Amino acid sequence: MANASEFRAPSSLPPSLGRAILESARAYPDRRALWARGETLTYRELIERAGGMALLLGENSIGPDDRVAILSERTTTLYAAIIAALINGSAYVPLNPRFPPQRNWQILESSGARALICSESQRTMLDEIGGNLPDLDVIILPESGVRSSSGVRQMLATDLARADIGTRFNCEVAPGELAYLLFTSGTTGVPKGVPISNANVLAYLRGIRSVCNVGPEDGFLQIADLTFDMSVHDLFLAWTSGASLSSAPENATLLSSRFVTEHELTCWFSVPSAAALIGQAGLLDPGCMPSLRYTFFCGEALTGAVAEAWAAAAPNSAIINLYGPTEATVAVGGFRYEPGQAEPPAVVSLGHPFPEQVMALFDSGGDPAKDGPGEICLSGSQVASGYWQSPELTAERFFEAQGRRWYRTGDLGRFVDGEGFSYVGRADRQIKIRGYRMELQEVEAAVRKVTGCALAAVLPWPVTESGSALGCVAFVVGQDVADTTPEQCRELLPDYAVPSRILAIREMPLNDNGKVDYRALADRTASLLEDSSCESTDRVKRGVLEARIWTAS
Amino acid sequence: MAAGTWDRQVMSSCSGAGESRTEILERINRIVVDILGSPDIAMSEETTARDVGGWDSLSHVQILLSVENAFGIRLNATEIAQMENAGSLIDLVQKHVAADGERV
Repeated sequence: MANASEFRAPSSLPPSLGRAILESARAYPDRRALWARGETLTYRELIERAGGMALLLGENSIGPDDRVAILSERTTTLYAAIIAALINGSAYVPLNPRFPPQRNWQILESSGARALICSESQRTMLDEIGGNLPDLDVIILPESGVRSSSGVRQMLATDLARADIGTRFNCEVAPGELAYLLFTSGTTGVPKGVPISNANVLAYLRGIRSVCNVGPEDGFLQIADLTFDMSVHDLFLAWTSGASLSSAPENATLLSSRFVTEHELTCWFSVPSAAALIGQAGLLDPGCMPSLRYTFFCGEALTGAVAEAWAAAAPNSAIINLYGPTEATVAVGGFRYEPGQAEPPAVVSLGHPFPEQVMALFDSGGDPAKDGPGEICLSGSQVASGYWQSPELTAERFFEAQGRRWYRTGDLGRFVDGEGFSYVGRADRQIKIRGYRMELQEVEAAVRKVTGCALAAVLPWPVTESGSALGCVAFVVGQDVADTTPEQCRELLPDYAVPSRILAIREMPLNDNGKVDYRALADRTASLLEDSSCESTDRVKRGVLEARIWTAS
Repeated sequence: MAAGTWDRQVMSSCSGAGESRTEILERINRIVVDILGSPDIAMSEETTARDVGGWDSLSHVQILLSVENAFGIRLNATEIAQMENAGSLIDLVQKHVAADGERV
């Protein structure tokens, strides 16, 4: 077994996340790397599993400039497949078994992926692949012994190559530029791709390491779906540190505090909504998670109340509020919360950027706005090169100023000495639904499609004190629309974005510009919802009901 | 998959483990109906969360916690992660109830 120091990458090699993972794996081959659905793998075993798929990709001419799509539920196969793409020097494109099939196909097509790695449980989806994926050259079914009916060339479990932790993989020689391609909500109704490079991710890892010190003794909880870049933090901070990763059981996010204690995990990363819901469920007792050392929150406003409740539940944990969009690789900076304050803030500050990143405020004219309020714009080594194959969208959000390249976040903010940046609101109609990013226009496009109505307006509903939405409701003008049509939206939208109600109203309030007056609609939403009749379970009021159900059981 | 088959006669002679699979399923069904607020739900051993309207990740945890409460058991992460359908849940209930019975 070769010396770990032999694998230290000379700085002349191009950046590669795959190589960074291999270095860590080779330094700690017998340490636990992964727990997923009851199965445990050491680093040696994980690289063997990934390596078999990586070599197969290479043998099928999948190279550094290619994307590898991955469709699997949360098992060791999913995580091994991601590493397989990376150590082959390719970029991975995660699909999501919880997305409606149409959304997965949209992502698959937009990505131009030439390879798809698919688990056995998801294979029924393959039968629907017709000729409309011209880029797809090979499907790898690492768990299967039988081919699907798709016409695309397929590799089965028996075709997997033999690899081990000492094998020389493509990423060590010639990695591609990209590490992954993730898709976020788009205002046109079609998800837009965000390509993140190996250099971007390695820059994030340097940045996050400026606020935490993790190593092989740490155990990371992995909550976020792989289609959200919060998972990038979980996977790659763990696997480049020799630490272990424990994948939270599917559909049981609320049991994560129990999971942390059961597995003695040390690192947590989630949206604040998860913490709030766990608290509401009565699963956040003081001192219940003594093993946690680091808690990171990101993705929506963190209230002082949630931060204090968390501090009591995890008394040995640093609590860090991170800030940043997918377009700047997970997060570009943060604020370390000091618990035990007599008067906790309503909302926790966003803090300061990591050493290599830049945050600044710009006014609507595109000029620097000093301390604000202004739009938060980001610059530095974590910022993506643009949107995937969309020069127009890229031109809308990326710009040059002061000799730097910037990304406009659409978040409005202020800057205060000491505390740093704080969030003031949005400049557009992007919202967070339980922490998930969504453009209201995308939901409106789906509602128009499903109802056949020309005019649809979607509002976040209900909205919590911190500004986060628990869901949304839609209003359409047109003929009477049955209450069952929200379910049809499930074929187009992820479940958190499906409106709980679609209400037909006689007239849409318009402002002086002839556009929908969303404020007037928002004012009337409560009464409109109560007025309309509904026989099926009223999910709009679910937020309130939930609290009661928890105390009753 | 999970814990194998259970001999019904053996089960009924263990103290604290007298319930048949059907009885356990009925109790689970009542819990699910209660939490989802839908009286029409009639589960079989093959029923999965996907088959039942409104059974999302929030209700999934509520249901698991209620089942733990109702039968006096505690499920671990592996069991929760590997659960496939109502039958799996019945297996786990029997397994945990039997284990507690043996300790007595």
